[in-house]
Amino acid sequence: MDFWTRFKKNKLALGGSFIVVLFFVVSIFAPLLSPHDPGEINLQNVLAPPSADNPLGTDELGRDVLSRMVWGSRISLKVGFASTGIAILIGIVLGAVAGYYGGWVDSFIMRAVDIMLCFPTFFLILAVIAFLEPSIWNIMAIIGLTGWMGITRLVRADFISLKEREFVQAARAIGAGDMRIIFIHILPNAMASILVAATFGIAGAILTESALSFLGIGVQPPTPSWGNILTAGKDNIDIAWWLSFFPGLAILLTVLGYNLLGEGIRDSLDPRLRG
Amino acid sequence: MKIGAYEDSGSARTLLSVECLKKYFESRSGFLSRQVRLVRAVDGVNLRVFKGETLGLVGESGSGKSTLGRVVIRLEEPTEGRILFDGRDVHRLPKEDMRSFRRDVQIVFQDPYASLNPRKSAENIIGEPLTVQRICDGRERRERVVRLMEVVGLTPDQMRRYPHEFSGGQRQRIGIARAIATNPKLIIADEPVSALDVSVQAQILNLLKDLQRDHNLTYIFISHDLRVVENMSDRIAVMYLGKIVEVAECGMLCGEPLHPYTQALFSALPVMKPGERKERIILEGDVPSPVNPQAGCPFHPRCRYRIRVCETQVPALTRTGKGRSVACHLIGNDASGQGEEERGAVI
Repeated sequence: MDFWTRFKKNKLALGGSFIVVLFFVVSIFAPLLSPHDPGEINLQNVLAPPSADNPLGTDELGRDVLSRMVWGSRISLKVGFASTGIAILIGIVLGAVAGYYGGWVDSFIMRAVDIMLCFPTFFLILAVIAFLEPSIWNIMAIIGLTGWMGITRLVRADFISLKEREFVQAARAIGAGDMRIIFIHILPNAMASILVAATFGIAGAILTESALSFLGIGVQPPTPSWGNILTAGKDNIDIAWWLSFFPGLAILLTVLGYNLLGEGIRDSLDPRLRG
Repeated sequence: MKIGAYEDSGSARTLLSVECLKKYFESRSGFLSRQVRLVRAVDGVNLRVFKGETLGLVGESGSGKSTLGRVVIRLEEPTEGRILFDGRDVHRLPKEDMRSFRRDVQIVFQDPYASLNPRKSAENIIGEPLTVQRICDGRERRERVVRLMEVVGLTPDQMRRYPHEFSGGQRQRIGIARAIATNPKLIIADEPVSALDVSVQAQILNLLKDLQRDHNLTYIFISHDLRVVENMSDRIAVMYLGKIVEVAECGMLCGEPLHPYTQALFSALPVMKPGERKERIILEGDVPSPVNPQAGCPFHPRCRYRIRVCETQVPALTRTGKGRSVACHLIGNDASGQGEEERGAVI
């Protein structure tokens, strides 16, 4: 049975991919889907409950919550993909070098991984953000720069086992150079597990971004993000439940969607890996 | 045939010569242990391969025959000794000559399931040597791949398929096509049929023979299967614990093995004629570990003819007759003195 047959049988994975695709579509067509301008302040209509005009209610400045969330999904996706992209890039390069060359290079890189893993990542991010100005670019960079360790270990492990395989020896015997062997022979065979790790990484990055924005050191108002809508919601939770409920639900669903998708891909790639 | 003429081995006929080759692997016994143990995979091998011949290399698993092959093709660096290909030291070739060495010497692996990259199509696998060696690219490469596929008995319309879509025998054909893509002079066939069904084995062996005839190839044919080696080889070298114990022309070695180990090996072959009986030499014990080799002849703990000198001195590979060398104290006149380092005992 191949990948797709197994994947299609996995209902949870299909549900996950549906959520992922849905949020993708929403963020791409944000300008068309949002009923109002997300920054449009209407002080006549503050903290209005969900209604026909404002399906998810309004916030403390009378802005439409649905529109803000639709635009906020762009932030989540951007941060999720960009920071995971950074993490994967670093992880592939370091993991490939460590696994392929071994020796002291390997020891050095793996000790760097161990050191990075010693820091409680979230507090490291907090500390760094305290020095930098909180912007979406800094958030992407910092989440990416603190999230590469797992992927490095994964890639290294794959490279260590793959480099001993006979097809790699055969490539060496025909005179292929290290770069060709690493990128053309080994990496494509390691891509499957990298893809799975990336999917989980995106979920984690979205969660971290929301948390940072919730704490006020992430995406800065007035730019809408799910996290900073939640912050506003927390102050009014007794009179305007919709202000915290819907962004929370959106975060929950997205993270769930990516995790289900990741697990689905992992299980379909190799049923033996299920754990 | 080709045998016989190399008797007075003019170096012109020698394609490859292995001199006092040793390959030791280090193995650490524990995580923090300083104690390094040496695994003597190849332990002082002298060997010549002549142009156009097939040299069979037999031995049981762990005898170092595959390691020898991998050092010859420079997938491993030797610990000691050297290998001359066309008169030049393989492991000291400058970069440009290394490129042409990679063109001239190729390898066919044992496991056709592991030796082909699962993510590349047959076309890319067979054509890769042409790209890497900058021989040709694009449409010209495709044409050569088509020709190569025809030569090894595959149909060119299969070239977009991936390895998992082929059978074991077909995959081995792909592996062979890759090996001959650069028109090599020497091919190391490392147990090329051991992973295949007997019926498919015969096809692949015939293919290898045809290719040898048509392309003037030289083979080092590594196998543990005596019948296959007997069928393929002009000369046979028998390895035991990293050393060569006997080298002779195929008919000679199979007809009348001299070294006690070779005798035991051949006595293990089942008798094909009904009614015929032959003595079975049962070897006692296992192959000793190559980690801590004992003194003397590597075979002496299991040898039924051993004498005292066998326990203390390593017998040198000594020429005993026309095209034949044996490393045994009981054979030939040379029971005294010559150490294994002796360089004269080539063949």
